Amino acid sequence: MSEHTAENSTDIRAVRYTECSVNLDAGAITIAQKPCQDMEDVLGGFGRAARILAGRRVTRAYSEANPLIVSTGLLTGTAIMTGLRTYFSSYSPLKVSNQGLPGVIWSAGSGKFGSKLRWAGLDQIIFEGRSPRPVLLHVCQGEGGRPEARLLPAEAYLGLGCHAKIMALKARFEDSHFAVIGEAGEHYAACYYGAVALSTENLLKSGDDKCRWAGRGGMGSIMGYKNVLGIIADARDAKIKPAGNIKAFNKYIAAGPGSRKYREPKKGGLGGTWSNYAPLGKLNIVPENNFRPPAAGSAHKLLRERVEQSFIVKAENCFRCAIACHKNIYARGGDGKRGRFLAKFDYEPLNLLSTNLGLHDAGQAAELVGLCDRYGMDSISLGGTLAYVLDYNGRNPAAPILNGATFGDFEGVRQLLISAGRGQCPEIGRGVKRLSEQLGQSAYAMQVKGLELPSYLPETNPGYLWAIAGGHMSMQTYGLLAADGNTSMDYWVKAITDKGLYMIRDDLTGLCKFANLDGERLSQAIRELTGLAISEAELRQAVRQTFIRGLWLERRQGFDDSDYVLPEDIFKNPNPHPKTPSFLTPGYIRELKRRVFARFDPEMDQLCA
Amino acid sequence: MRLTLRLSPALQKTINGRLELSLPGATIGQCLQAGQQNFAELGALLFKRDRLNPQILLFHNNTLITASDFTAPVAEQDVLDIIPAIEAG
Repeated sequence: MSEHTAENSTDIRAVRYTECSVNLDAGAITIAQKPCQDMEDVLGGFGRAARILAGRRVTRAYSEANPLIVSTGLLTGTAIMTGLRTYFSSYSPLKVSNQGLPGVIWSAGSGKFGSKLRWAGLDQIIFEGRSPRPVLLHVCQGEGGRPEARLLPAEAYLGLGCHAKIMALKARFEDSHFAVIGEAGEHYAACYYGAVALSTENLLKSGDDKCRWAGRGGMGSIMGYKNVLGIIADARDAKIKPAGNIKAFNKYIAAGPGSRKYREPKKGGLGGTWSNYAPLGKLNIVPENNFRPPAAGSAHKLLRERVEQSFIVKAENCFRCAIACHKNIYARGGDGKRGRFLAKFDYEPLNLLSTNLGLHDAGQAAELVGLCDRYGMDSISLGGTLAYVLDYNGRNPAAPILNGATFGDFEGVRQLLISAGRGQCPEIGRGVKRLSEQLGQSAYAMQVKGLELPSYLPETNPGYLWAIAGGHMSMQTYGLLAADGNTSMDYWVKAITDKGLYMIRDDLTGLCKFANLDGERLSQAIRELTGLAISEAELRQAVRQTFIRGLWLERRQGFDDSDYVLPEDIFKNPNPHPKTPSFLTPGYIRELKRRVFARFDPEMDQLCA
Repeated sequence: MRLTLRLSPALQKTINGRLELSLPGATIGQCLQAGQQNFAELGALLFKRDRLNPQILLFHNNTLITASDFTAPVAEQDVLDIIPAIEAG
């Protein structure tokens, strides 16, 4: 937040943020300070973006009426550990109602780009319209430290992968960080899930392809439609030495219980989200062969300890973050030492580009994850759509589609991935909802509201229906059945309406979800870092309102009862092999929807009428 | 001796919103027993069908432990963290 006038103030209108508005049609740029209207404006991220998007009527994602909002959170670029987030919000080309209207979405990533943007003096960029030619937006510190921005021609960068673009920009802009799209985003008409790559210090220093990603919902494709190939945040690093309680909070983030999952075993951690393979594998609910694990699942084949027999795993980190959640895979050299960098393994990309495609070889998985990154696609949407194609071909051997690949066909998958990344395979690039509807076989298309499912079986998570920006980033119910085994209606209504939605808190604040900072410490950190007295209750209310506004935006874009559905196959052809309770029936879902919307509908009416 | 029990914020609602408890006892097991006497919810979190809940993980200081480690002695300033086994990314 650029400016606020009162110490320890809760006077919202005294808080201002600095916005850069870019009219791409005219090439005109305006930078202005704006007063905050409510707590969501103050916190930033999707909280502020949702309000702006609610004020626009957009019927096509690829239209000049659709803005792309690049925002930071209140704590982005501050001394609190993981305060690194950048948010990309827009009407999505991928998330779509059955009435054909685009849904609002956001996607967030870390790295150092967001901090640099704040240090350049901007809290938010809004891209309006569409540039007639490829451009870059260069944001820098001008005279007196005031932010300046200009559009630069970008034809020379067309056709480069994400990493190659970043390295080319690095050679031209010193002390900068970058948000770029790859070929998939450039070919937005054929790929609706282009991602945005954010540079990291490690990437710039090592020259290895180690981006962070704002992956979900096709925000990179929106950038591609707008002809914006990248954003350069060009600013000196701010001096942000942690003081007071912030030092203690950082220690808590780095060494407390909330980040154990993501830390290395030698630091008392589990070794990253990848470690989900073990507990989910015991219950045989690791997605395999398009979310249908067989009786003897193969999840154990990609456990970290097995991968480490052939490869070296090194934990690396974002700027000033001690969690070190990046589990980077390197070839093991002949001398046993670390060789070439291959890819980063997280649970979702790894699972959806290996086990769920019937592939169980870590080297093949690394190649596919690396290629997905190179072309700049969302690994969840890509993996989910590929799995559907392989499944379809297995079910329809007399009339296969594309190259006829089926589960386990690495080379076939690799070819499909490259074609999708180059914009040569719109069947895959436009996502599984559209493809399955064209083929008339939607029952086993693993998506909700046009967004492919993350790596948790749909029969274990009815909460997917209320995820407003992807199933594992906007509704925290994906692991509940495995954890609690509770199938009662009361339990699930409460889990969705009183707990799961608060997962999006850090899609406003600028912190990473992996920090898992509790509300009390977060409130104190905000006070110390910004002077703003925001209570835990106010934080929760702002988060809830943002969620409710997101849900209301779905309603306004035509999402109705027919959109809030799980893949039909889980009812018609249930898999007997998961070891979790089987409890979802059409009747259960019907009643759950009635009860959940009985809670949410009045809130939507009150907030958004 | 006292053991500091810390819950991951993801489990914050489990014990009336509390994130930390200070539990007396000479061993981990004794400390957990003391905790369950005051907070029945702790027992429900720790055990499912009389066995250690497989969907949570316990770290004694920086070491992942199982129920067989509950006889281990507790030293001053020891910490026991409880985290969910499954979290996304």
